[in-house]
Amino acid sequence: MELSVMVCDDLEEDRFTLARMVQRYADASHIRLTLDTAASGDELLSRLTPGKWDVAFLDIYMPGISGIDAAKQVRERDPACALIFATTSREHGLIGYDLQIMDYLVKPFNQGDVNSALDWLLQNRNNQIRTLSFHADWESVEVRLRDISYIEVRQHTSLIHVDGRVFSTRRSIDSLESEIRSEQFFRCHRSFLVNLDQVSGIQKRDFLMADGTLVPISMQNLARARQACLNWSLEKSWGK
Amino acid sequence: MEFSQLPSASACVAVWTTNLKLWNHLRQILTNWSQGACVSLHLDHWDCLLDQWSAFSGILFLDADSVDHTQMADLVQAPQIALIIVSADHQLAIQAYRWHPVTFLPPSAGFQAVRRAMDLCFPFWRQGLQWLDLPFHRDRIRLPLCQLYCAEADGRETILYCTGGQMRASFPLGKLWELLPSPPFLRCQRGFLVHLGAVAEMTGGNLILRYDSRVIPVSRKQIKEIQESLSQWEFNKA
Repeated sequence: MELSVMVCDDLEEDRFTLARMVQRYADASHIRLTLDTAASGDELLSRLTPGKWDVAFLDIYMPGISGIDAAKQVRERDPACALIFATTSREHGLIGYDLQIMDYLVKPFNQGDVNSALDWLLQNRNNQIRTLSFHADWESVEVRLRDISYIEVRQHTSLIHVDGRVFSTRRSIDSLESEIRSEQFFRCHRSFLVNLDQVSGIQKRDFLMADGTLVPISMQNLARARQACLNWSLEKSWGK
Repeated sequence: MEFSQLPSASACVAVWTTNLKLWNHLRQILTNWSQGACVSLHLDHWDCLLDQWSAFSGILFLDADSVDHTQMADLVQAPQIALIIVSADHQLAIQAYRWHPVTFLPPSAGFQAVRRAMDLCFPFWRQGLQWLDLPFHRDRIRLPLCQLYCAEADGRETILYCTGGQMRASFPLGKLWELLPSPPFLRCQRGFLVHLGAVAEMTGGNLILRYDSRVIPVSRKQIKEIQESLSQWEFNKA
């Protein structure tokens, strides 16, 4: 498993202490960690791209843009990024709920507090972070589930379409489907497993993917496919 | 079957409090919300943590001012429960993060605040959504009932105005009206029905809709009844 973390704090000592705690957690949990740090909200926002960080720890009182304003902008630009306030402030508990932050750590906090927050992230944001591992053309590959567009079978080989790249593996689509086991993926055809998050609509008897590709739906799965697509889009868009 | 619910379903919501005033307040708001959102709701009051709580799956409003916090640890670990903390103590807001609630509400929270909280819990009440399932030529139209805000008769067919756009059903408006819950739906004249939540205002015998500023005429004999329904609707939301 891999995890990408941002630690944003204007105080160098606090920033490094928290970064060390995150590193210790990753080492103990055998997680491949990508760790970024920023000394201000402006620096964080200048480096933010959607999907770059799984979680961002944010101090609140910082010179320039505050942690609250930075959190608002992160929410707009990358809604999937989990946010954790790590601050001396005890006054922003309520606004944190409006910003849908995941946890609120009051300084001085300890390793146990950071571990609990990251444990929760791994258990409850599984779909964002989970990966699929397989052997493709003699190399071992690990991809994030969220990046998979669809999987198809051709001549006993599974082709995994990920961000415009195609990996081929000898694993069966049944075995891949049972490992993935997520509501986000729908078996629309004996030979196709599709990531509903990357579907932009249904055209006749095909899923139209975000990149324009058409993925066939078998006649017997058509009604279920429509309902699954509708349920998924409702879940993604409800209240927004 | 033209009007259906997904199998098995009501949304389960429990309010865990010993404060009867708070229970009555939340019960009223949640009942109004379920009516407007066209959600089939099963609402429970817990005055203590039930032995069978682990069998509960749904949304739990927890009054942190009247129940024992020490019983929280197990609840936090239950992935089938969406927790909403209710408390007048703002200082508790930070402490409550360790329970990972969906949100934190004051006991005086009104309709809009509760509705926002329910929006955040959508996956936990989705099974209670009522659905519209109508024929259109050889195909079917299926959508959550709350997304329908207006319907207009067009001969033997009906034009459905929904939050996601406009569509047509091979189904007469009169028959559709017999299937819809009222409130929130109202037949404002022979050719139209509307969802009360979609009405921005009523002026001069016309309803003006909030989504597309469409003007819907109201039949003269129904003006009074519709005015009363609208007032009651606004009162419930307030």
